Amino acid sequence: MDVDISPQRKLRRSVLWFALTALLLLLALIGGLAWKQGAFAKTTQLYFFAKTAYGMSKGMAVKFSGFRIGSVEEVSLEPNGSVKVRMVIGNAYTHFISKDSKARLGKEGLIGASIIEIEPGESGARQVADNDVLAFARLRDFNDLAQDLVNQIQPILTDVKMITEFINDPDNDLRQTIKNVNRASAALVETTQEIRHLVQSSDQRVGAVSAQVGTLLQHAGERLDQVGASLKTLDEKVPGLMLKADKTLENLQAATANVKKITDESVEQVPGILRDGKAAAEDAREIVGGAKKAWPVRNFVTPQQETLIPLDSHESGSAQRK
Amino acid sequence: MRAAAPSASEVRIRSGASHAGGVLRLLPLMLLCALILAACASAPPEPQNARLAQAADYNRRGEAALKQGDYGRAQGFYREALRIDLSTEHSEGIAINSINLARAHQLAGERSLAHQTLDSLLGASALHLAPELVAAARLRKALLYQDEGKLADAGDWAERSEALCKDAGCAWRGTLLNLRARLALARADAGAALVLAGQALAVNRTRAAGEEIANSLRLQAEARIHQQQFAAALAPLDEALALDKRLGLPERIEADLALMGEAHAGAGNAEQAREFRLRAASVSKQRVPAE
Repeated sequence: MDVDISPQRKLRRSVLWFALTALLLLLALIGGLAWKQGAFAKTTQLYFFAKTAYGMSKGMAVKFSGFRIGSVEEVSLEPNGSVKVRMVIGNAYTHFISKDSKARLGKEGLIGASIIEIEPGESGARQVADNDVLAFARLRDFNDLAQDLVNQIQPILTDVKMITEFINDPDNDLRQTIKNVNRASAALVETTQEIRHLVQSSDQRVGAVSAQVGTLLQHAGERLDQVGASLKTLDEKVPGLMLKADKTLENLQAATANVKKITDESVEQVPGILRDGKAAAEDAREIVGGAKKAWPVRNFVTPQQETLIPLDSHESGSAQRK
Repeated sequence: MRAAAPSASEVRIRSGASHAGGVLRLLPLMLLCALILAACASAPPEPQNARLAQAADYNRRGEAALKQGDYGRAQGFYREALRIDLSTEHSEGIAINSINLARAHQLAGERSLAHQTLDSLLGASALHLAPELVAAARLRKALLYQDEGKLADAGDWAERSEALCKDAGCAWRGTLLNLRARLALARADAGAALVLAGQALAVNRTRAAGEEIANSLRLQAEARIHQQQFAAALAPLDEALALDKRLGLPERIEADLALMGEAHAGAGNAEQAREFRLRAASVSKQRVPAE
């Protein structure tokens, strides 16, 4: 039986060629995308050592003058307890970094994400090479600032307490002065009474005047009596007030300690939460941005354009009517 | 009884048919592969400059703030958009945001700042702005002068704008003609106003510019009222009112109703005039000043 099978072979060959071409195109596309993402870009590995890995993580950005030039590839614990950090820097940027450059752990803004900032070294130093080690410093963060604030307030509170204790001491100069004033007032009252008696027994010729003077002096005496009484009351009440002030200051100090404790706890938690929130928002923005650029979504998204407020011939007329 | 064996040609035909059926079955899959490959291979859209996207975002926020009546914030957004456009020498953006900033200043009552902003734009010859944008800036200047009651200056700037906006293809042609009609009305030249408003109406109808069509109709009606042709004023006002209602513009609805009241009063229909005036007052009472 004569069966011609050449069309079947031809079809298989065509399908095979088609599939092969599609595969090649797909591989070329993947290669192109990988190249665009920097998978084949040449990089330089740099290291630095830190006492603690606090605030550092794999993938965090390495920046120079605000530009991202690489990323942290590995954070590992050394046998001596120090932390070894491996960074990968694009070769296009290594000429900015000299051997004496410093890596600093900082933040983008007060509550921004942690980054490694490369601080340039001296202009004469040689450019870094692969596997070089940079010096490392940790920038002051929110926790350090809060601790500084507490350290500055603490001596002030101690001074205030000392002053209060000094005022409260019965043997101090201030208390002695108040007592002397009290005694002098009492003596003045006695003197006034003697003067009054003297005036009463004086010449009758100045009776009218004397009577007036007596009245005046009597009033003065009354006032001085009142002053004496007031000073006595003050003397009785001051220790109580001082005691209350002392207690108030103790309460204030305890409250400050609580605030410090809360601040310490917040300092550990709040920046983390805010960082996470910011990172999540950035991730979401990147995902949405990526989706917008991807087929077929990109076909449905029109880029924003700057628009002119419509010019309206009625607008000025309406202003005049108003 | 045995069936007759198929001939060689029949076998070839059947074999060909079965291959064709296989190809047809594979066809959707092949088409899908081809579509995916074509989609992957198609050039991605030109990525928008990140700075321009940011400027566009500020521009959009400025417009939103302006609509909310928050002129200070609108100025801030437009200034930021302008700063970005200046830093990238994006002349179109510079023109758009300068004109918008001038409008925000005008609405905030800062007319001298509005003039300064427009003068800076119009004086920057190095920008090589598109004639249509220069025409828009000059028109904004004319509107600003009209707002100040300086009608001669407004007319002068309207003429300068028109020099670059003569054909109907110019986006501001209808607005410009309406403005000229309004200036003619201010000079008590109702005849010229009627002609200009008619030209404006034709241009605006071609461009389907709803608000400006209503403005042209209102101007025609005002010109008719000036000419004591009260009955002739009612038809354009009816159409203008319907348009303004459709666009939801309370301040213009109020103006339409007030003019209708005036037209009816002139025509001797006291009862209808009263009704329209009450309706205008009612709209005025309910709308907020920003509208």
